[in-house]
Amino acid sequence: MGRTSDYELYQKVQEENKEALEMLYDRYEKLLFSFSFKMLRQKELAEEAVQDVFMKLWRKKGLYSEDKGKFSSWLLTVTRNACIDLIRKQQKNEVEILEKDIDHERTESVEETVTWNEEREGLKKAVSSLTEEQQDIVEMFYFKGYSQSDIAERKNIPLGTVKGRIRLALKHLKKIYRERGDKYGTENLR
Amino acid sequence: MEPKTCGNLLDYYNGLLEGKEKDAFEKHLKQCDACQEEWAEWQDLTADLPYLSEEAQPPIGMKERILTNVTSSDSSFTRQETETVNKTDENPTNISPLSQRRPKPWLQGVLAAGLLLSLGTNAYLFNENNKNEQVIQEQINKTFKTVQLASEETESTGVASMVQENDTMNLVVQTNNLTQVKGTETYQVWLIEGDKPYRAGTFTPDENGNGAVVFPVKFEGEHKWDAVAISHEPTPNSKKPLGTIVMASNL
Repeated sequence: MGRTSDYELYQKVQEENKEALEMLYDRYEKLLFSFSFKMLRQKELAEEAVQDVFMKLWRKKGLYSEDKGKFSSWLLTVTRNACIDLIRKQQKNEVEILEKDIDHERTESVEETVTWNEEREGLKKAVSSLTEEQQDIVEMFYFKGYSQSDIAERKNIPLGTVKGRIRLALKHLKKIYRERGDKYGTENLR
Repeated sequence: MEPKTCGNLLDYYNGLLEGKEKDAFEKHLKQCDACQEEWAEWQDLTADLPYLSEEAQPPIGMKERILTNVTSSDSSFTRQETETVNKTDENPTNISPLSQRRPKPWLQGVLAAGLLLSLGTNAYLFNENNKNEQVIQEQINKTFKTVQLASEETESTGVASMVQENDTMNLVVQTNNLTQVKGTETYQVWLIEGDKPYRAGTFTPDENGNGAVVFPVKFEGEHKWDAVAISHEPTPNSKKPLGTIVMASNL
């Protein structure tokens, strides 16, 4: 009902419309920050990742087009890559990423914010149907950005089987989860 | 099909290829139907995973910091004026050029200075209520010192900067999430030298607990300020702090 689509907002952002940037920011702040925090475990780094994403949206032209799929999926890919860049940077600086507590800001719910509680619960149930090893390798591969050889070494499995095991785990997850219905055809807004 | 190159797909996906190896894989990906198909498969298989993230509350002031930093001009950054297929955006790089431009605490100080003293370039003033946008383009004055202010007990935060404007030194203070004042209560800003506080000025935050104020620093004699503090005072007339110090930082 009158809601501006992500793509329309993105197009306005391309024209350097600050109001559109803010609307897009409000819509995705919590999701992008939560995802970045899961990957980086440090609020300062997570904030840096989110800033990097919005820097790219604001300052680079033509990064996204509708043929790249859903805007939200694309945005999450860009966010993950920003996180991976920061993980690599930390590794280069030999700084261990430690889990820290996070400051909580009590905010009133924003009307147009992507929420995903129901989806997370469904995904967690799907994840719980994976073996412990499968859960570990998905975590290592996707959220920690480990190489195949690192995963092979840490899990003590043959290097040649790593990709297959990750794929099998992800296919199982997708099957279990999406049997419930793909929730992401449209963004869920509070 | 080059099995050895194709085998790099997952490590490329995780941003682990560098230099020539990375360039070679990107070139290969454009030409290898099998890899393109597999690439699309991995994108699809991982599409739901971000939603496993537990909801985390963004830090206080993050929105303001990010929108300010993103929209403020940065001459060191060249805008991409043409459509790009730069892989650094859709594939990780080892060092992100943007990550080298981490938010600087002093930006908030400059922001406040820009608002109050007509300083700064393209400062984006973020107002939660009416979201005014103010673009100020004048010569930047010299910021000597900027410190972050934080409260141990509340969610209040702030930034204080010493800014030289012509012949006058100004103390610029920007605060967020201060507790509302009642009746005659105010907030007072203090410059502290040794154990002696000097009252720099008084202010009342807006209904959201935010404030941005500037005080000319005009005390007789030479001073070497050790700290800045903000106290919640019962009246605007306190000659020394009588209420609670809500935020402070060494200068």
